[in-house]
This record gives sequence, C-alpha cells and structure tokens, in this order.
Amino acid sequence: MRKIRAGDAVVIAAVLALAVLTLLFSFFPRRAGKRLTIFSDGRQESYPLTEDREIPLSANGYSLIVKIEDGKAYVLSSTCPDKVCIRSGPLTKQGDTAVCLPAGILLKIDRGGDADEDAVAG
Amino acid sequence: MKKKLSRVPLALVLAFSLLLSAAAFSSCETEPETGPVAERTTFVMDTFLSVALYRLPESGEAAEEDALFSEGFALVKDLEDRLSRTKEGSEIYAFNEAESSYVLSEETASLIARALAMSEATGGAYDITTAPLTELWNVAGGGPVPDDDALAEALSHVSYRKLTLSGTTLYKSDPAVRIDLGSVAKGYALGKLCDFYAARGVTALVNFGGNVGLVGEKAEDTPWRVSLRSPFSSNESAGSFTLSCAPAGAVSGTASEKENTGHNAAAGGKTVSFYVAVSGDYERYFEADGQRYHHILSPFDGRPARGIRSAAVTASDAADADMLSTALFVMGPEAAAAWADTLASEYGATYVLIPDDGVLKTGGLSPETFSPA
Repeated sequence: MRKIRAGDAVVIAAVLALAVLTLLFSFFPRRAGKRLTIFSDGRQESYPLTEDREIPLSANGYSLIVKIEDGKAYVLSSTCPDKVCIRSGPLTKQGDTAVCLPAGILLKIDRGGDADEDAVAG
Repeated sequence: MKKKLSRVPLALVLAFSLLLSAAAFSSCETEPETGPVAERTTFVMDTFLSVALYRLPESGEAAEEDALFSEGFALVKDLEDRLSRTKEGSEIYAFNEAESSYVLSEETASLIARALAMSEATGGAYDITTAPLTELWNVAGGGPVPDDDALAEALSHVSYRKLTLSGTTLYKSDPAVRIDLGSVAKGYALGKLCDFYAARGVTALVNFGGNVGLVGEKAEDTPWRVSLRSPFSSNESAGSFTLSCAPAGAVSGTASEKENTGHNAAAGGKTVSFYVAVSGDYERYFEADGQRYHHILSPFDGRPARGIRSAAVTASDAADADMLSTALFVMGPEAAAAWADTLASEYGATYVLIPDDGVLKTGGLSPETFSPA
C-alpha cells in the first residue's frame, strides 16, 4: 500500500490550486469591468458600475443627477425640457446610451470583460 | 522505493498543472484585442455622434488619431451647416425661405434627387416636404396636438410632387412648401464619415444618434454585434445583429452588391462599410390625453404614423438605410412587409419591424445575422 505523505499532498493541492486559478483568471480577466462613461462639454469621465454613487452634472444651463445603483446607471433628475435622458431608463449593457441633447451630455456603458455587444442601435 | 512511487503522481500533477498554465497563457497571447483604441463623442445635427476607432493604419500615431476625429467631426458639421432646416445660412433654410426656387450645391442637389427617387419608390411614404407638419406638431417642444383645420392646412403643402429638381435648381410649385432632411441627412453624413475612415484604412464603429455605421473588420473573421434596442423597455434588447464587414463577396448580403451613387466608394477596395438605421417612436414624443404623439409624421394624414414602434434597416448605404427605416415606419406593418422584396432587390437591404403587438417581423435576415432576444 503506497501512501502519499502529508507534505506531498499539500504541495499537490497548492500546485493544482495555482494552476486552476491561473486558468480562471486568464479566462475572466476583467469580468467586473463595465463602466459608465459620461461625455459632457468636450470632456469625459468614467465610473465603475460596481460602485453606487450619485453624480451631479451641469452643462448649457441645465442640471442633471446621474445615479449608479446595483450595476445600473440612470438619470435620476434633469432640468432639461424633454426628459429623453430620463426616459432612456437604466443603462446596463455595453453600448447602452442615454442622451440629454439640451445639455449636450451623453451617458454610455463601455465594455467590461464580458463584452456583449459592440453597439446598440435605435 | 515507497518514496519514489509517491513522486510519480506528484510529477504527473505538476506536468498537468504546467500544461494548464501554458494553455492559459497561450490563450492570452492568441486572443485578438477587439476593443476600441480610441473613442470620442460630439453633438451635431441635434444628436450625439460617437466614433470608436478599432484598428488604425500601420503608421497610426497619436497626432493622426486626433486628425481622424477632428476631420471626421468637421465633415459632419459642414453637412449640418448645409442641410439643416433651422440654421440660417443653410441651403435648406434658403430654399424654404425662397418663393419658388433655389440653386443648390451639386452635392445637396444629388441628395435631394435620391430623396425624391425614394418618395417615388415608396409611393410617397417617404417624403421630405413634411416640414410644415414638423413645425405644427412641435413634438420636441411638447406639442400640443393641433386642431383638424390647422392640420389640414399644413398637410395641403406636403407632397414631394410639389418639388422639381432641374440640374441643381430645386423648384417648388407652392411657396409654402418646406423641406426637412431630418430623415436622410444623418444617414448621409454617417455614410460620408464612414467612407472617410474606410478610405484611410481605419476600422471604426460610428453611432450617430442610434444609427450605427460599421467600417472594416473589428478583427480578422470577427463580425460586429449590434444590439437592437427594444421600443418597449429602454434597457432591453429586441435582438442582436451579427454583421460582417469582410471584404466584398465574403458574406452574402453585406458586401456592396449594387452600384450606388458614389457612396461606400471603398467597398470595391479592401474596407467595407455596413449600416443599421432605426426609426422608433419611443424617444422623441409627447403625451396628451393618455396618447403618445411621436415625431415620425405621416405625409398621408399628417399625424404620427401608427402600427410600428420600431423599424430597423440594414444596408450597405447609410442614406438608403436611413430613408428606408422612415419609409417602413410610415407604411405600417402590412404595407412594409408587402414591400420587402423590393427592399431586398432594389436596395440590398434587410429589415426588422417591431409592430405594436411586439411580434417581430424580419425580412432578408438569416438566423445567423439576426437573433431575436
């Protein structure tokens, strides 16, 4: 009856775990990387969708509050007249956009590691 | 002896682990990088224009990257200055103000000629003389719903048949005729911008107010995936297009199969462009008495066209795609579906219609090219 020593078992387990982890990380390198990018007044800022926050914006005399919550981004309120940005609803997928034309603000979800679509038409 | 034997499985495990790691690292190396290398957005023609550059020519330096954005955006801005209905100094503004005729630039005249041909082809469902209706309804300003007399008056000045193009001179048979290129200018500009990138060997994805232009292959043998927004729920997809811009002939239905009027000029060369245009009622509208009044007005009765919530058209010409999506939306689901064969044969175009009942109707799209969500 052959026996593996306790030391050997530890080494085997460690090497196996290391190999499996390496493999997993290589397949899912940026899994949680989806971001909200806000284009406003010629500048852009990017926020991770993983951290809840409120982002106050103002441009062209209009004020908006953008909220990131539970992996979604949406326009909570806006002083613009048409409210298209609020109607655009929560943004979750890569390529999802919400636009406030009067303020000249574009919100867009950018690629994370689990890239789904290149763009959203419509 | 015992000691030696116990080393055998250990050696195997080590070898197996090394193989796993090697596989992991090699997959990192061979995985093509498919994300954009640079992306910028501007606001023009009353909407956003977002350009993502994926692959630059070999010599692509940062300075050239800047020029690719600035020259591309300037090209679209120039078209806005000439084609806008509301900008003083534009050719369209001047024509609308003119009593009976106006001499257009050659480029604008040729665009008007295409629009008039589309009106003929669609039995008037596509019509650029709807400006009096657009102004009357004032959808962007929140209405209100016009009364019947005002509507009838505005409608009496709407018909592409009141326009005649002779050379570059556009004539109107009724001084109150006003044109609005809102249903083609963005598409036309998108096509020109994509031609600009194609001619420079740049792979790009352009999103112009929800109309998408694809230039070149994202990576070798890697199609683009474009989601179609659901008209019923803003954060849901109605389906997904898988579109290839592989060099001509590689994929049926996507390479330029028809002679067109100088657009997509690079299609005969190495960089192919492809477009998705969408007309929908879910973004620009106002509500009154529980009804939704949107911005796509029917030249037949002067009211927001009913029956379809979203009409998406794919084609190798962006202006065609833009005009066709509007035409199908105005036609309504039955007439649009009946016209589908012409769409395929004359324009090499395909469509997805989402009627009020939400039952998708597609034409010319294989299961590989479009999959409903």
